[in-house]
Amino acid sequence: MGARFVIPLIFFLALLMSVGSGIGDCAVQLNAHLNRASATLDDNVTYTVSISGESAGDPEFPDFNGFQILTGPMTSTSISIVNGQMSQSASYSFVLLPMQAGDLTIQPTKINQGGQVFASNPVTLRVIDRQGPAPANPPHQQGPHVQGPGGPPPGHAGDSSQQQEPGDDIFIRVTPDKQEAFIGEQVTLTYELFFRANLANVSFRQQPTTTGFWSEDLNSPRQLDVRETVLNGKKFQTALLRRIAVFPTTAGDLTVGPLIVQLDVRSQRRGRDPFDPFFSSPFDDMFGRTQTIVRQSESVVVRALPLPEAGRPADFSGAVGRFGIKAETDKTTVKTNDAFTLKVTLGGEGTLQPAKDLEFPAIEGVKEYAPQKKDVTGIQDLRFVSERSYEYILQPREVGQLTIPPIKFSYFDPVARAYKTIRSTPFIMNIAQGEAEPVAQQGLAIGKEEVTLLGMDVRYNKPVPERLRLGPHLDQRPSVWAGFVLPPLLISVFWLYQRRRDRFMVDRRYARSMKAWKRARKHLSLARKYQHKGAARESLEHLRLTVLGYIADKLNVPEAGMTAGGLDDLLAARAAPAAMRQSVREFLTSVDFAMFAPSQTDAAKTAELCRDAEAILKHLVRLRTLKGQ
Amino acid sequence: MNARRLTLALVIATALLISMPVSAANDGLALTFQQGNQAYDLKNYEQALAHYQQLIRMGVVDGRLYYNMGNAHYRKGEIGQAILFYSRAQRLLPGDPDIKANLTLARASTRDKLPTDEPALPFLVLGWPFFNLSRDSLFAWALVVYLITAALILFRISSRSDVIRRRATQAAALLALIFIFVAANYSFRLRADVIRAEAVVLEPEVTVRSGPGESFAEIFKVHAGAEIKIHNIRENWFHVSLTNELAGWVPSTAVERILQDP
Repeated sequence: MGARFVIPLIFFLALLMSVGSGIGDCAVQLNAHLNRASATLDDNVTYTVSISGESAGDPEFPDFNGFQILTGPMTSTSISIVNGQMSQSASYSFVLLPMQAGDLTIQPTKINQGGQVFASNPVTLRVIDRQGPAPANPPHQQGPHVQGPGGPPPGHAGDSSQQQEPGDDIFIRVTPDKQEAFIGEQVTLTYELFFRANLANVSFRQQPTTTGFWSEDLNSPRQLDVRETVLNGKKFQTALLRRIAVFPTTAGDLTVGPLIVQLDVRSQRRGRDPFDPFFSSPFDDMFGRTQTIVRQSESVVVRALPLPEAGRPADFSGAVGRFGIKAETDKTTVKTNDAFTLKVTLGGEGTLQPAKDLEFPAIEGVKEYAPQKKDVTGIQDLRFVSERSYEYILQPREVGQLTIPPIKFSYFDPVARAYKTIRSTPFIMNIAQGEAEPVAQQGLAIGKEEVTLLGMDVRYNKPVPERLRLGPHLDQRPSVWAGFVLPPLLISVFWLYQRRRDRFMVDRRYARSMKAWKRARKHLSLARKYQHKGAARESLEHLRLTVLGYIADKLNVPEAGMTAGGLDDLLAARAAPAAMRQSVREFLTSVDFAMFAPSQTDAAKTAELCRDAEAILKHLVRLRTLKGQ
Repeated sequence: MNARRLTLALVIATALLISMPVSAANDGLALTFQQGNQAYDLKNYEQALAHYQQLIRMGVVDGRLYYNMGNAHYRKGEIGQAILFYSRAQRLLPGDPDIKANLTLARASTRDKLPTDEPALPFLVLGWPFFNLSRDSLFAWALVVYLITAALILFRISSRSDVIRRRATQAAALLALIFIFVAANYSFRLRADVIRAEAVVLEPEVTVRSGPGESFAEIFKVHAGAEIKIHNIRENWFHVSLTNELAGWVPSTAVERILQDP
């Protein structure tokens, strides 16, 4: 533990002493190298450029022509002291995948330091084509670890020479179950990972491309099931990555692309750098460093053979595999016009996807509706299996024995390398007499058709109506317009009537004034009646009330106790003409005299007084001063 | 005076006014109609039309009669006459689906391709009475609503209860709005029937000229069944326009107004 504190302390003091002399005077040096001198198209290589000396600018990396950059740049910096001279360095790494065979050169990395350009050395990688040796012995195929030109600076923390390179012991092997297959025949590809390193994580970077194939995933374990195996005398751990089934869809040499995975590898440390504890984390000591590498499988070429022309039946469905056929009905006894279902099932190993639909033979006396088709697929013992069912709804129309003929299906058997035709079992059914046209009653939702328009024609005539419309329009009849005119008139009259009635009820003066004429006429009429009867006194009494009552009603004064003098005063107050006042006064005086001396009053006098009363009343009615009351 | 009795009397009197002269059951008329239909069934369309024309002379103004006449003309291949009578029938029975179907079919048989002005949705909704009720129906509805409104006003005047008066006022206000709506539709119907003076071309081919006379230049030709609008009359010539905005003068004998009333 003491060294952990002492060594950094010494380093720090030395750093302080050398400030301004050691680092600042150093020129910038760039060294580029690859972790290997040669590789196949499936190997990845690590390009590292180390920059030492005082550097302020960012490096300009070359175009990695001919390579695909998988990861990078990954950066690390370090400071080292050699013979009392302290130097600073930084390194940048790229993981590259060569894309073409031949000698690939990576141009220098450059850095601009105050107008002065420093450049690294170019590096060259020899890339061997994939068609080279098969990856039966991958550790040997992968080229020896070669330090790049210039080599890393002494004491470099990321120096690969001090670590075991994990990539040499990790590879993916792909195993096809056959190299050639007929169109539509299954080829199974198994991708396995072989490794001798401590793997932390595995993830798929690119799935195999299957151009020219139709593919199905057979097995993709979520967790690696690792087991041990010995390969060329070396102990490896191996795990299944993926297993896929591919079916060629066209003839010729077809290629399944590589499976590319990314792996996190924990590297095992061999030596111990005295300065390393200063820069490494406690986790590095515990688990070792983790490095991300990329591995890819070989591509697989499958030779797809066309289906043979010889022996191909005319009704060949297009399906390739090994299939069986089965037919069944849902009823054993059926009546005419009663629908039943015939289910025909095809099933077996292979895919029915390209297969044409079954041809159902026309049966006389049976109405056939469009079948319902259902496809089911699955995996059984690493083989792709398919099942297709057709449900025909049939409706016999005739009584008797109904024979459902066998239904044929032709396919190509790649194992037997021959075409085969299979047939379903024929059925014989007895059809009994049923109800006529029951389809609609049964509510079958099938067999409905769009209404077909056969032609266009006008709709038929109207029948004789019960009543025919005669004459002009309603609005051309004046009598109907009365309906619009009458209501306002009625409303107005009714409103006035209501208003008058209401005033009669609340306004006594108004009510008396309005009734004055009527009362006066009534009294005059009674006066005449009594005069004819010879009842002079009663007649005179009514004559008095005719005039006095009228004026009292009009002026709304009590008529009881009213004298001729008092009445004259009232008329004078309303500016009645003097002649009028005099006639009223004289009339009332005459009446009063006659009433007090009835013996001197004869019938002629009473009749004269009646005439006088009527004349006075007519004058009073015209009197304006009384009208306004 | 009892306001309720007055109101009732008002409504009954108006109902009688409306219904009495509009239609009549007449065995003679029905027989003639029946004879026309029988002749039509026997494909004797001339005879059918003769019976139907007799009904018109007897004062029948009925949408069903015009519809049957349209059918007879259609069967005779007289598309112009067919469209004329279907249009007349539609004026009296606007909501009748048979008339609409046959008019559409007859229009499809015409030679001139003319744009039809389809009303916008708001007009279809607000103008539902306009598009579906006849002039007589709209007038009758307006009158009935008017009378009920008047009756409610009478009721309001006569009532002594404040609650009843308030309710009657609200109901009368609502009915007044309905009356305005119906009356507006009626006025548009009347305008469409009378003022627009639509007509139909009856002759197989008519030359439309730039002025009211044979000496004026020919502008275009229209064919039987083309529906036109009359704008002006000069002696025996009509100034007409088509729905595609083309306009000119045609002899008055070549076309016939849909509305027969002068």
